[in-house]
Amino acid sequence: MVERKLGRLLALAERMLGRRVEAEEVAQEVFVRVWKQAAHWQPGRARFDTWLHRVALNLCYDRLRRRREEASDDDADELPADSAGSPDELLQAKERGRRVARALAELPKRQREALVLQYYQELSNGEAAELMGIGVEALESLLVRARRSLRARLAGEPRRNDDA
Amino acid sequence: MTPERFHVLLDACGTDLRRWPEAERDAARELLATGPSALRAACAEAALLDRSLEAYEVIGPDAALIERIAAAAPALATDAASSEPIAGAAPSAESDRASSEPIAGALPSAASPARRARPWWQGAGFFWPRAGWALTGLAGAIAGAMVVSVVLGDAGPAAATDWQKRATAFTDRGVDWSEE
Repeated sequence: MVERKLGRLLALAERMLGRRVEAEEVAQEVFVRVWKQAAHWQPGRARFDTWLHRVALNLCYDRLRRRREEASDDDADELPADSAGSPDELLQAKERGRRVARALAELPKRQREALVLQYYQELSNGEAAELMGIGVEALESLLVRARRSLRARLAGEPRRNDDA
Repeated sequence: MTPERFHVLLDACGTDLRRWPEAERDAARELLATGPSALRAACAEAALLDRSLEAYEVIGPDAALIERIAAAAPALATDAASSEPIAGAAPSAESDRASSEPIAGALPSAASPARRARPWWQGAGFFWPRAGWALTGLAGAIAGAMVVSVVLGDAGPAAATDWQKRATAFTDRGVDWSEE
């Protein structure tokens, strides 16, 4: 079970947090909760994946909130680095991936969450909306803004203050 | 489907039809086949972003992490009966997902670079394999707008681990905690 679920959880956390170490900690914590909750689970009540996503997202938000409270100026240093200065060290695709990672990390977190759930985690719009506690139309709106913002960031256009 | 709705979904979901609401996919195909050519140009532009998103890969868990997590299981599971429910982590109600179409293999991770083929929105017919493992993206930028994308049978490269190939929300649909 760990082997089957861990990869998805790790990917979710890393794309939400932008930091590998924290993502691994979140993934570990999710499984600690899995083990603790095992005896309380009622068969047929919920999708395990849905529950896992919810727990992982809550843990990610806890960490993002803590970061904001700490207001550390060092945060940016830990985001995936722009590789513009070292083009020779990376393949083009890898470099593009790092740029996307950085742009994703800079998105407002609800937009990032929407995109991570719907695109990378491959949830349907209905599933992602349910996890986020919003309607499908609101999710679509977040996705539109997220993708437009990403496109602009990747193209090097000026950022809009679109924090929603 | 109106062109306006098409643009909204394209902007929200990208060029991979599997990410579109299932109920609107056929209408989208039909509109693209009969509608203004500007829709296809919009698809080409959206495909550029899809291709960029695909490039953001996350490395899978290493053995040490798996071992750490697995090692914690027996002790915690033994104590589970006496543990308190965790606030904020309660299992939620089952989702009302309308689609049951599998999308396994479509994960645009580093582990699944797609084979490029003709995209659904390009060319006559706009074939879309319902049960196929497909990934739409851009393979090359187009001067004048040529986008290449994917329809494939297996997107997993040699480096892909099992979890990367099979672990999608949809492959796991229907799996309850009781089954784990």
